[in-house]
Amino acid sequence: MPLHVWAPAAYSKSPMSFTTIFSGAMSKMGIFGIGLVFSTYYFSHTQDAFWVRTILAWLGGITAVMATVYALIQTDAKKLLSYSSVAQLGYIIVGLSTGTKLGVMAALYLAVLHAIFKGALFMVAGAVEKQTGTTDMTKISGLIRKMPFTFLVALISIIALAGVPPIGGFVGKWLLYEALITESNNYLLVIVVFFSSTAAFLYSYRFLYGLFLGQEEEDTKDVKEAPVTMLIPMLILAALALITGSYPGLVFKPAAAAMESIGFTDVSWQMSSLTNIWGNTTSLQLISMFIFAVFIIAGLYLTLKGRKTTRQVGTKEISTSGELPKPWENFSYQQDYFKPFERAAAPLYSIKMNKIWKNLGANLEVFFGFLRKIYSGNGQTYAFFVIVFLVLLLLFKNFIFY
Amino acid sequence: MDGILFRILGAFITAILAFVVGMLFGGLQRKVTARVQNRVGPPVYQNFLDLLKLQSKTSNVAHGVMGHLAPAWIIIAAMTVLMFIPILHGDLWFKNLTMNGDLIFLLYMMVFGSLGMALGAGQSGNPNSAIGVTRGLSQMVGFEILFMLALDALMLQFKTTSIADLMTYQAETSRWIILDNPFAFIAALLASLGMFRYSPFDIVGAPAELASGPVSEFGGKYLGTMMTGGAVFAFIKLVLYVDLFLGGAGHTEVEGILGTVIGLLELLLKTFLLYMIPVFVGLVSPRFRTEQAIRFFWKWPTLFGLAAIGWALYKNGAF
Repeated sequence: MPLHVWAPAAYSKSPMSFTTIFSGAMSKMGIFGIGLVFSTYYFSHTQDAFWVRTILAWLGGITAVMATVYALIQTDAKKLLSYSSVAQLGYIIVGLSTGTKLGVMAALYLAVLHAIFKGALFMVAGAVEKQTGTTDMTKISGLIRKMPFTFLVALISIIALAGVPPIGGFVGKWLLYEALITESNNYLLVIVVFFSSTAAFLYSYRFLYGLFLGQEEEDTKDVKEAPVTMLIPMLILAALALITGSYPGLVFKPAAAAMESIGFTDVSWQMSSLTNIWGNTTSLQLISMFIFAVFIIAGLYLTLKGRKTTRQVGTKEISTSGELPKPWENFSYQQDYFKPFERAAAPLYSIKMNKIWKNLGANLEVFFGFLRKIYSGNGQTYAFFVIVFLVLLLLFKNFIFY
Repeated sequence: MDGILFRILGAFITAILAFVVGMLFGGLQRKVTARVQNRVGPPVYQNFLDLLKLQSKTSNVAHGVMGHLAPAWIIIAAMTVLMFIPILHGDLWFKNLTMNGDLIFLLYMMVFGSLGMALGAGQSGNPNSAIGVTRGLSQMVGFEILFMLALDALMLQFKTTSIADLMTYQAETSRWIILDNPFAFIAALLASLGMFRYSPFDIVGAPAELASGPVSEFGGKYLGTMMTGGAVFAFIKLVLYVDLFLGGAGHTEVEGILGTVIGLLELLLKTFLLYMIPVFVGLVSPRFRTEQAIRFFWKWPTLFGLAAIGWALYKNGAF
């Protein structure tokens, strides 16, 4: 979507407290508009609108891919998140354009969940900015020991963003893929969407590593955890993302009501399991319970076994093959983070939407310059045009009026 | 015979089986590599000895909470995928949770361990670990696309997203999916080269460049637990391929324990032969650079993947 031309710049410059609302709520306005248009016309005329919907779906898929590949070369955390927002909106467009029950449900679910986890992530970036003064990932690293709760929120939200179970984001991804594969014959578009969401792992990791992991910088030595007033909203959003992973029905219920009000019939949903039209089920509650059980067992084993003899060391105590690094040296890998991927996907990076728009603008200028010659603003020229038109009418009247 | 205790017992047996077989396959791989290089090689049970040594180390070094929990994430991924993939067709012992998850879920669950590992490696502060992780994630974008193309083709062709259904189809018609959609198998097999990370795709560990990459700061109980998870995961990946393409395993005609044993032997044979493909490819290839490793999957293999989708459509009478 052309949306991505202005969004990243705007999101990264605006004050943090507004960006959450911008990305979470305002960006859904466009989706709301498209949804409205669809609900009045396309959903009821599925056959007629096939091409419109297919083109829109592909545009959504291409937006998702392009925004993702640009997100993963950003060095500023806020810019990274803004590009990621554009990509997420791409998924939502894809879901809406399929026009099937599962697809629209996926779009609505993703819209709600994107507001939750992207809101939390922008708050995390805001907290980091407040405590350190910057969100440039090349300048700060290793904040996990300083801001553990912020990291916890970032971790849960990033897992939701990446769409890995057992956190809510997975449900959205599942609905979207199943909608594309089982209900509407978008078997190639699903690959495009999948590419985007796999490449999303890259920038997800970039965000976490850039801000929180790696070795501590000397100048962030005295950084404290964000104030409680900032932590509470973040933790609430993270908890919501966690709960929707086991009970997506909480979001399905209003979404199904909305869909029924615009003309879908028999929108079925379950509180904690997903079923596609071929009858294959994924039981989320069972999965979450299993994952947490194994996590507790394995975590306990790792913690309790040899608890006394386990040495807790800092990030500076690493194997450096005998060399002794100076205390101010920082080994965190922050520059050119995904250079090999950039090289591999070089053709994608050569497509620049801004350039396309600029070229289009230049061409339009030439075109309107030509038009301006006709509409010269001179009354006599207009009178001349009227006479020429009349003469032409008279000449061709036999062809026009039988 | 369908009580909850029986199910739990079955789950334990599955876990132990996967662990033992995964470790043995690792040992066999070392032996095979050694014989190809004209060495004697370590004994087949060498991996068990290594694990024992790692777990009995008295000094362990933890680099913070994510590094501490990283092995747990790997165990989660391995155990969850293990429980949701059917081991033997129609066997009472290995029922586990196979009817409760589908292919899309498994696809996402399989990256869970890598992400946890990535976080642990990131916190250790070693630059080699971070470089290894970025390489691994980049390469994942390469082969996961290919794997998804193959799975997409299967889902389209058989109108199901459940592995159990695909196995039932193969068992009932006694026709392997490798015959029904050969292109999907080729695409998935090429993806498996990246998944197993043997040469030429060993860019993540890359002993000579990155000092074993993401695991370089882990030792003792942490490395041991990772090794356990890795062994289970290697086995489960092979079982997934056998289930999807090679007819699965399991003997339904012979009742009781004997049937289970025959089924298991069949499974071991198939998984071992499949496992030798990436191993042998690795033995004769030098390492790729990272961008080459990514691009490899986007060239010819992707064409096979697209051909698989075309074939699935053709079989379903789309054209």
